[in-house]
Amino acid sequence: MLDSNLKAQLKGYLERISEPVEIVASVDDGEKSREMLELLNDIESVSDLIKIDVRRDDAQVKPSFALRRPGTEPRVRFAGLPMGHEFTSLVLALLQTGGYPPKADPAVLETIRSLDDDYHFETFVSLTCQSCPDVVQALNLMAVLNPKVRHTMIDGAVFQNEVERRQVMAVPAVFLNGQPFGQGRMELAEIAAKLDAGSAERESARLRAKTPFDVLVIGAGPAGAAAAIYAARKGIRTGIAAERLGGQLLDTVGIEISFR
Amino acid sequence: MRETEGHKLATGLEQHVTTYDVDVMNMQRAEALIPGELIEVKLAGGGILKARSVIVATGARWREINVPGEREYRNRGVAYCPHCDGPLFKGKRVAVIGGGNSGVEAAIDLAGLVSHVTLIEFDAQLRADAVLEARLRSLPNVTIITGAQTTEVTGDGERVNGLIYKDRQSGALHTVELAGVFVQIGLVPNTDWLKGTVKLTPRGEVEVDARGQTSVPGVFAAGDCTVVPYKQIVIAVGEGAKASLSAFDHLIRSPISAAA
Repeated sequence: MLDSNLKAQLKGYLERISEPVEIVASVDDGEKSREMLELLNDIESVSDLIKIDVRRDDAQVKPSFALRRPGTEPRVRFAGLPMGHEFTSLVLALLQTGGYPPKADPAVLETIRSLDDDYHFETFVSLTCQSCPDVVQALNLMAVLNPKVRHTMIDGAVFQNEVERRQVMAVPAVFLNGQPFGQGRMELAEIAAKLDAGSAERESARLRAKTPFDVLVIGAGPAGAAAAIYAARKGIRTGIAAERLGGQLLDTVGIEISFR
Repeated sequence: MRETEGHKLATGLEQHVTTYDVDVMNMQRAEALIPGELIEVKLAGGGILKARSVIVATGARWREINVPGEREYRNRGVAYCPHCDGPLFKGKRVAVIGGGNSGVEAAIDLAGLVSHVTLIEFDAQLRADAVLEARLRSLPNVTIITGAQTTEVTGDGERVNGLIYKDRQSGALHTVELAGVFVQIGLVPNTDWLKGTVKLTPRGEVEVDARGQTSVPGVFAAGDCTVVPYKQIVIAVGEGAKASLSAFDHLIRSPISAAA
């Protein structure tokens, strides 16, 4: 399934795993299941800490596989093959399940650990979607960090009946406990804030307590960023508040002429 | 720099901002501005920030046509900026929706790049300046359709492959095969939160003088949310720098009692 080059790369990454990881594979006799087992065998072959457990009679969608620490319930599941843009998501999920520390804002990680309801997320992706991996990786990390969170990535191309049934028109499409939760690119902090009821209150108290600024910029597109940079260079107390850093730039693909 | 990408420029600006001592508050939407010696900005979620000067750089968003397919195929054939994305459609067939000045200018611009442009206008006639309309009509690879309501943008799941419009007189539906749809029905400045406090034009743009000063002392504005013509990235960057220097000028001339 994986060529020798990719296998060597994968081996390099998976050396960072410090705890055992079990891959629980749910398969049938189909072609896709066979491909999935090939991929999983390749993964198992490059790390001593990874073991596969194959199930043919469980109630899970097939083909799919889930990651767990031995003795715990699996919480990160991939339905279909996480290849293409999602291969990174698979590697990260293996690393994080295997004890590799995530790179994220500690305050956000704390918020995620403190979530206290049962959350089952499902994300529909396509393997050629560029904004999908961010969402998949954010939700996988949440599931790794908090035992009450589960996440399933679903390759829409493999599970077209589900796509039809849920009326998924664009990816990534995220469902929470069966209900539509969000569409399009989402950051970890954004998802965490959306779930954490108390976070809004803590956040507003934190903002109200701030010392007045000399210059406060509202908006962080090109105009806002330039304004903040110029103010900060004067050495005065500068703040910038924005809905999303980058503004309309994030919707612009190619920029020519503008900076010639 | 000759060319870049929206994401790269956004990341670059963000990194530049964070190299300075700037308090970055992401995912905050401003809801109201309260003028005073210390200006207050109320945020959605209950936060309040105070500052001796404020720079409004909230930008603008493309006005949408609100038909099926528009959101799904955004950045996959549905585009809003002919200057930015026009070159991606070199040699292909496209449509421009909107027969005002910006739509007609976009069509003229695109006609030099793409194989064919269909301009679709809701009204019975174009609403652009006579000079522009004459120029447009002189171009051999442009078809003008007036009295037409766009009802759907169609695609193959990956990208746009056509649009459907309704002849408003006969009610008949027509399909145009094409690779790109440029929506040019105007920009909407993100200034709703300033209504009643800062002077806006009837179109909602913030009125600023040559220094970026608004009608409220200590409040400056820059970029696409203002009256400054030509909504371009370089212009926004320059305007942001200018507003910041003006804010600094304002601060050093303000009485010390206002200092926090």
